[in-house]
Amino acid sequence: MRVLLVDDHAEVRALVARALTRDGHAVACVATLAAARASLAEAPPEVVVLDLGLPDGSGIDQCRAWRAAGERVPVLMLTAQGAVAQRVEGLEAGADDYLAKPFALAELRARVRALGRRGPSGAVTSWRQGGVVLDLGARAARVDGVEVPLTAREWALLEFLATRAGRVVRRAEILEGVWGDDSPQASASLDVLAARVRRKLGATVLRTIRGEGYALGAGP
Amino acid sequence: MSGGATFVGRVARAMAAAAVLSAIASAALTSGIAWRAAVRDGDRRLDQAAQTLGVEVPAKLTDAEAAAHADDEQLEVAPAGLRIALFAGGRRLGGDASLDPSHARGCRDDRAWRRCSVGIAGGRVVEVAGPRGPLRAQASALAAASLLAALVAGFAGVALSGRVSSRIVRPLRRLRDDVAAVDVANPGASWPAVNDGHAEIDALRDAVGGMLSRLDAALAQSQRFAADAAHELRTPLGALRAELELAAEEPGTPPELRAAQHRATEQVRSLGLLVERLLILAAPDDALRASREAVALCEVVEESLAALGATPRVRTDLDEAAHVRGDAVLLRALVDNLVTNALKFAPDGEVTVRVAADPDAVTVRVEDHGPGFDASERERVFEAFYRSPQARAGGVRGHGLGLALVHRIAAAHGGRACVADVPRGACVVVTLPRWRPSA
Repeated sequence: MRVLLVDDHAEVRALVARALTRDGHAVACVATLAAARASLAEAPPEVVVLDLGLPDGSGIDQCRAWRAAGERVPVLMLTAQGAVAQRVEGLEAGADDYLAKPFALAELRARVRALGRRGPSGAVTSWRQGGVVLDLGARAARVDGVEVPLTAREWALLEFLATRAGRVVRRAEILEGVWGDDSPQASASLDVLAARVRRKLGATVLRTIRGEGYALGAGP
Repeated sequence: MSGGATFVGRVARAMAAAAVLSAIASAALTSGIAWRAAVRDGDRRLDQAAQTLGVEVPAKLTDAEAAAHADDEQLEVAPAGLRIALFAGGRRLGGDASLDPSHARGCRDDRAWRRCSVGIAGGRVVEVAGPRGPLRAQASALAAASLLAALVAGFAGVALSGRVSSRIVRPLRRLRDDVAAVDVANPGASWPAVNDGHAEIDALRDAVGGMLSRLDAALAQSQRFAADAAHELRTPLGALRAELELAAEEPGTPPELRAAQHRATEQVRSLGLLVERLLILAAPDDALRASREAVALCEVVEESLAALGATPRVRTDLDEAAHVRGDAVLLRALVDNLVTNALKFAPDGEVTVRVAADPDAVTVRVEDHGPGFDASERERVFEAFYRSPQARAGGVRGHGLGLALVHRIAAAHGGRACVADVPRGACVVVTLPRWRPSA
């Protein structure tokens, strides 16, 4: 997978690049937004890892500009733990996920892997079945007109399945795309998460196909 | 107000003492003046009697004629209680037989009598005397009246002193209320810029206001310093941690080196967390306010416990319906701090984490069986850098930031953290507004 890493701290950049390279990714490292734009145009990456405070501007503004121009590469932003407003603004600007510093490299690798598996951002913007309406862009879920709270992880699962609507998605694939890791813990979490989504949106929203995986909707 | 001497009491006592003293002084002064006025009045009567005799006895009269006039005058004044006699050259001419001649002119006291000696025409001298008794009675009546009046004024002063003095200290009470209302986190801004209208009180208010502004500046400076220091440490710590994590993946590392790497990684990880905590505590309130994501507290607790690897000792009771609008990263930090705190301060025994929801609010309740909190420190435990005496004595490591962070994050979500009453151990309850559909 091609990863574009945008960070102005040389040491952090080198270390993150080393970790991602070990995972078999081809990593392009840049320190400025100008270099990031050039790299993106030259060799389109499958995931962008974006630090927010860069010498030539804000990563959030760049993300918004990319989305406005139709660029759909998944973006993972790196934010300070206390930077709540940045996270909110970043997601609204079209970033797909965030990671709060200080992070473990393992966590960063999992997020990059998951984003790469999910594919282009915003491929599906809404999904509907009966009284259930999912607005994936605004992250609002309604059941018979009443808004229902869904957590970030639940949205990640629903979005992953929605972009593969109609087809059965294998467990391993879901674990890779939502958790970025197919450990037994993640596997147990998937079943808990699926049960919660069913309780919130109704049993027919999520189909379990024994021995195969999950699918969104009541099926054919 | 606490017991002991009060300023109102002091002012009241001082006012009462002043009232009593001034009553006594005014009574003494009035009776003195009254006495002297009565004496002067009496002397005038005596002098008048002598002058009358003097008019009746011109120089040309013989001593015998003069003596006759003196005897007549004596008869005339006797009913008024006076005695009168006429002398010439120390020899009695006529009048009262018991009066002796005086050596000097003027009035003086002579035992029970007041007597005056007046020279008249022809070198003759009139001696006249009146009893002092009535004079004294009149003066004592006047003195008694003035004493009574003064005492009445004095008692009135004592009776009113309490009310008057509490009126006097009313501006001080207002000052006290304003000082009590000062916000510790924001001292200067919370000081009301009002004038009391009394020069002394206003000077005191200005002095307090000035002190609070200086405190503001010092507070801001120390916060800036902490934030700057933390900010500078963040990147090198991140790099150090990544370096250690990568090194841990290298194959063929001897086991003792691997263990050292692991310890170093843990230390660097907790240093990084400390830095982030300081930055969160130093961040302005509105930078932490978030209401976008729906966060399920049960999910946060599950993830936190999985990451802490502390499950055997922790019992959970989680309501899946407890959602809030907020920031998953901060709420995770909140739960991490509650749980690690409980595990740290109660080295053994069960730790219970309960997440519950009612129609408006959700609560996270973390309870342990450790030493608990003293009643006196229940408010202080949420202050930054506060460490309980037990924690210090017990050698529990920490910086006193965990619960301060919990409090800060709860407040940023429109909620609060408090210590609940439990028979044994400690119990911290965080209450947050429940998720609602957006309007």
